[in-house]
Amino acid sequence: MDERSDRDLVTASCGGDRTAYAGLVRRHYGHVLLVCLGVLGNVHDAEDVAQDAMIKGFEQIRQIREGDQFGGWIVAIARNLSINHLRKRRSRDKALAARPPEYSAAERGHEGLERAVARLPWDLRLPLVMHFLDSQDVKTVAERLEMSPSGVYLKLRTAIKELQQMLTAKGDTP
Amino acid sequence: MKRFCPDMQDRIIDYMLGVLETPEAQAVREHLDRCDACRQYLQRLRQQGDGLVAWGERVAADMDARQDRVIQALETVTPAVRIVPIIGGFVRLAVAAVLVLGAGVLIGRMTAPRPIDAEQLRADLEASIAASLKPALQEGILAELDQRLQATLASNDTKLRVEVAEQISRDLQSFASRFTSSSEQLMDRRFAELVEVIEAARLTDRRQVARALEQIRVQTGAGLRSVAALRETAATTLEN
Repeated sequence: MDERSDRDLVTASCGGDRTAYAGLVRRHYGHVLLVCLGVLGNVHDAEDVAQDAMIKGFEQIRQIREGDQFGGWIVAIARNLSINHLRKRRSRDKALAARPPEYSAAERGHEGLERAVARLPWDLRLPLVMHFLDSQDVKTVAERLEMSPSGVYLKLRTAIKELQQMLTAKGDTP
Repeated sequence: MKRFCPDMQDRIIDYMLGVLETPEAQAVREHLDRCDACRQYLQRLRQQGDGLVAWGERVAADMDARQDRVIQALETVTPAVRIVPIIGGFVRLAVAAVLVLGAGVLIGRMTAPRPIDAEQLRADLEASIAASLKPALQEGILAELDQRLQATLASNDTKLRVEVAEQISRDLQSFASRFTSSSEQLMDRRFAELVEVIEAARLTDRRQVARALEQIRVQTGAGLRSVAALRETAATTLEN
């Protein structure tokens, strides 16, 4: 792991230093991936969009005014790309008249939980994933999502309640 | 499975999230100690949370490989070129000078009086002149109209008087002629009637005069005869 600060890595990246940007990738990709997962609801799509976000970040690295803001900046790019991807996917699913999969009561274990999470609205799923999967405290989630902490608490509470309701109805309590 | 207490659901979730203050958290703990259903609900929530954390760990397990793929994909990417750094110091200064001058011109234009807009000025003048002259024009027009009306009335009055006088004269003449004609006829009739009456009266008078004369003549003859008789008597007497 590159020990340089984000500001230094960004400055070096602006000069085309791929190694410096690779340091930023190592440091921030996990957050980016989980933000994409929080919006999109499945890891496969999240990986694709997260990679696109990191590439776009490198292309536009010279637009950052303050290098130490790279974390929030790249997460914002990832979130916007994910939302666009989600809209395209919904349009495509609607065009194909695709239905969300029905889960049987026999489904147990983490797959049932992941599918239940995937069925949540993305605005509830995103703070849930950032808090539990990415181990970010509520304050950090609120900053990253540009929300108030109380708003994040409210969404977390609603997400937990709905998720538990879905899992209980299916008998999928992990 | 006994259902949890509905009024405790939110507080149990908040308790799990660790956002409750100490007194509230203590109250929830006391409730959980005596309520099996709520305790089981909290247990399910914690399992759910643990499942989410475990999912995050599974995702993170492949993180290095994913990062490698991203870094590999970056090999063909270069940062987009920004225009300003390439321009160089001198050009940047020139651009800055142009911007400053442009801003100055803009500020000057915004603060300086506006150039005269001939059309606008003309329109304003027309409106102003119209506004200022309108009452005078109206007054003049009214005065002229009044004069014309008075003159017209005066001329009409004279003309009317003449016409009325002429008409009256004509009417009087006509009336007079008609009256004269009718009066002449009437006078003729009356005169004829009067002549007839006079003639009748004259005849009557003549008859009466004739009768009177006849009577007088008769009486005169008798008188004369009486006188004669008296003379004869007297004479006889005397003779006697």
